[in-house]
Amino acid sequence: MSVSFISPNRTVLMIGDDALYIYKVTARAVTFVDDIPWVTEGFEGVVSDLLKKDCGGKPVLVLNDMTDQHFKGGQRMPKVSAMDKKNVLRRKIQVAFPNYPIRGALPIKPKKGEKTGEMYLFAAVPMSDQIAKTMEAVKISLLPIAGFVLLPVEAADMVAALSKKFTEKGGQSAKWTIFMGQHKSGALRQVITRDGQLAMTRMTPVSDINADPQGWAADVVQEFKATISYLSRFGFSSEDGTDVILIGNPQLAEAVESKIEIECDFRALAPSEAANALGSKIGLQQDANYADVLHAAWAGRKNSFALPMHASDLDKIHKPRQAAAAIIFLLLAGGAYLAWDTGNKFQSMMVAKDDLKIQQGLLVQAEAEYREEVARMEALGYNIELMQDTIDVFMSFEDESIETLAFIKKVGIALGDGLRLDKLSYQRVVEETNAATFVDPNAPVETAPLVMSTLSMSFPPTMELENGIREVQGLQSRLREQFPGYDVEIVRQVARPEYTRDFQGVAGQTDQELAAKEDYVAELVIRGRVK
Amino acid sequence: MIQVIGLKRLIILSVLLAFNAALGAGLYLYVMPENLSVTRQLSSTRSQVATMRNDAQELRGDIEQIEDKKSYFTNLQTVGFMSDQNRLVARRRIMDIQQYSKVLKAKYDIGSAVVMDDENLSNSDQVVLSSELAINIDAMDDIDFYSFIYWLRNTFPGHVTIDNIKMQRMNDVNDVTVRQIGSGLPMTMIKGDVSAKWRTIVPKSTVTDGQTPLGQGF
Repeated sequence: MSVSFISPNRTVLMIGDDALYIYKVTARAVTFVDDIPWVTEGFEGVVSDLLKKDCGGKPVLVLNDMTDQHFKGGQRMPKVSAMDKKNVLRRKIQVAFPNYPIRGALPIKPKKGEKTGEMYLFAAVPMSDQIAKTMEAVKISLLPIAGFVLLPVEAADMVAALSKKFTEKGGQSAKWTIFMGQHKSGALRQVITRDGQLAMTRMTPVSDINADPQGWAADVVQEFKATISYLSRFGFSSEDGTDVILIGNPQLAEAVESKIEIECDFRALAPSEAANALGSKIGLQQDANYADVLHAAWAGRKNSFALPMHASDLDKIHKPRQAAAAIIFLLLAGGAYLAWDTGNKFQSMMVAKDDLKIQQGLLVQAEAEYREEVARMEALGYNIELMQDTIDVFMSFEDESIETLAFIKKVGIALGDGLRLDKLSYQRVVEETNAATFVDPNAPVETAPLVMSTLSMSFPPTMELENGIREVQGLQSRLREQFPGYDVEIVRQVARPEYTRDFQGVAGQTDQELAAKEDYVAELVIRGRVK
Repeated sequence: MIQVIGLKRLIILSVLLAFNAALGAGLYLYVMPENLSVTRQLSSTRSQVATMRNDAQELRGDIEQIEDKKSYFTNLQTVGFMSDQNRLVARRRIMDIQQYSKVLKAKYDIGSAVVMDDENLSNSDQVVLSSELAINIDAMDDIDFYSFIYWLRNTFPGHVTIDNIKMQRMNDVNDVTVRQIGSGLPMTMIKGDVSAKWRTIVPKSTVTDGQTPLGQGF
C-alpha cells in the first residue's frame, strides 16, 4: 500500500473477542486510542465519546477481528444476465448463511487456464452482542460509517503485497504465504494466502510476546505446525514455495525459524518494518510487537474494500448518513455554483449598469447635438425632402427634354449659305413597347429620347437636276457630320430617280416644258437618340 | 431520523438548504431579471444614441446639401416650378414672349392639367401638374420663331418640354413681299406649330382636398 495524500483519515474500530480496540488512522501515523472491554458499563456512551472527542469525529471503519467469522469458498455463480446477477448473488449468500445477518461475497480470481465460471468466497458474521454494542456506539456518535469489513479478508492483499516485496527481482512469487502476528488481545492471527488470495485464517490464543517471549515463540511454532497440518488438506506442498512472515520481535525470529521444519522463506519483522516495506507509516508505537496496528493501518487507509459486508442494521445507520452526506455535498456544490453564477451575473449587471450610465450620458449629448442641428435646419427655413424631390423631378424633366434650338442650329450649319428649307418638322418619337418582343433584361436601358426631324427643300427649275442631286447628297453628308450616331436618310431625292418608282417623259419638249414637269423637291429625315 | 443522522447534520442541511434557497431566490428573482432589464435598457439606449447620432449626421448632411442646393431650389421657386399653373399668369407670359420675340402672332391652346404621381416626389407629398401646350405662330423671320421657342423654354413658369415643332416658309422674299413689309403691313413669312408639355409641381393635399381625382383634368 502506498501512502497518498488522498488517503482517508478514519477511526478503525477493531472488534476483538475480549474488547473493542480503537485506532486513529491518518496518512502519517496510526495511533492506538484505547481498548474498551465489552463488559464496560455504559460501553456505547464511552465509545461514542471517544469517537467524537479523541478521534476527531472522523468516519468509522469497523474491522471485525473476532474468531466467529464464517467462510464458504468456491461458490459458483450460475450464468445469469448482468441485471439479475446482484439479486442471484444476494439470494445465494442468503441461502448459504440463512442465520447470519451480516454477509458478503468476494469474487475469486480463477487459476491460470481454469475455466470454471465466476467463483465467489462467501463470508458471514453472526450478530453478536459485541457487534450490536459497536453499532449502537457508532449510531450514538452520529459519525459517518466507512464500512464493515473482515480483518482476514482485507489483510489478504497486504500479505500478498509483503510476499511480493520480499520476492527477489525476476524470481517467482511463492504460491503460499503464511502471515502470523499477535494482536493486543493476545491471540495469534494467521492469514494464509494461496496465489495472493485468502485461503485460510486462524485465530488462536498464545503467550504474550512481551511477558513470555520464549513461550510465545514455542506457541507460535506449535500453531504454525497446526496450520501446516490444516493446509495439507487443501493441497499444501512446500515444494510450491512458501513465504512465512512473522510480525513481532525480530530477536525471537531465530527461536521460531529454527523449529520450522518445512522448506520456506522465513521473515520476521517488527510492525513498523512491515509498514515500511508496504510503503506505509504507522508512526511510533507503544507496544511495538503487536500486529493489529499494521492491520488497522492497511484497512483504515483503503479507498475501496475487498469485501464490504452488508447488514440491514448497519444499512439503517449507514444509508441515511450516506444520503445526508451526499445531499450536503450536492448542496455545497449547488451553493458554490449558485454563488459563482450569482457573482458572475451580479458583476455583469454592475458592468451593464455602469455602461448604461455612460450611454445615458452619451444619449443626452447626442440629443443636444441633434437639437442643435434641428435648430440650424429650422433656421435655414427649408424642407430638405421637398428641396431634394423638387430638384430631382426637375432634373428628370430636363433629362427627357431636347434642346431643340441646338438641334436646329446644327441643321442650319449643315445647310450652309446656299441652301434653305421650305419646311422643318421636329418631333419626339413615342416608343411603343411590344410585349411579344424579347427584351434582354441585362441589356442597358435606353433612356435618351428618340427624335425624328424632317427637312424639306425645293430647288429652282433653272437648276440642272444632277446638280440638285449632288447638293442634296452633299447636305446628307454634312448632316451626318453634324449628327454623328443619327440616321440621316434622303427620303425624297430631286427628280425622283429611284428605280423603285415608275418613270415617264416625252422627248423633244422645250426646256420650259421639261422644267414645268420635273420634281425639284427633296426631303431628308434625321432620326436618332439625343446624345 | 434525527437520531440516525444527528442534529448537527440536520442543522447543516437546513442551513445549506436555506443558503441555496436564498441564493437561488436572489439569483432568479432579482439578479437575473434586473440584469436582463439593465441589458435591455443598455441595448435600447445604445440604439437610441446611434439613431440620434445618425439623425444628427443626416441633418448635417442635409444642411450641407441645403447650402449647396438652396440657390438652385430658390431659382426653381422663382421660375414658378412650384406653382398651380395659373392660366392668367401663362397668358401674360405668352404675350410677353410674343412681344419680346417679335413674332407676329401666337395663338395658344392650353389643355386642362392632368395630375400625375412621380416617384421622385414620394418623400415630399407633391404631385406633378401636366398641361398640353399647343401654339400656332406667325412670324416674319425664322429667327423670331426660334426666339419665341427659346423664351418659351426659358421664361415660362415651370418646366416646358418641347415635343413637336413644325415650321413652314409661306412666302419668298421678292419685290412684292419687300414692298409690303416696307409699307409697314405685317407679312407672314413663316408659320409654325409648337407642341409642348407644361409641368409644375404642387402639394398633393391641394389636389386631393379639391376633390379632383388623380389623373383627371384639373
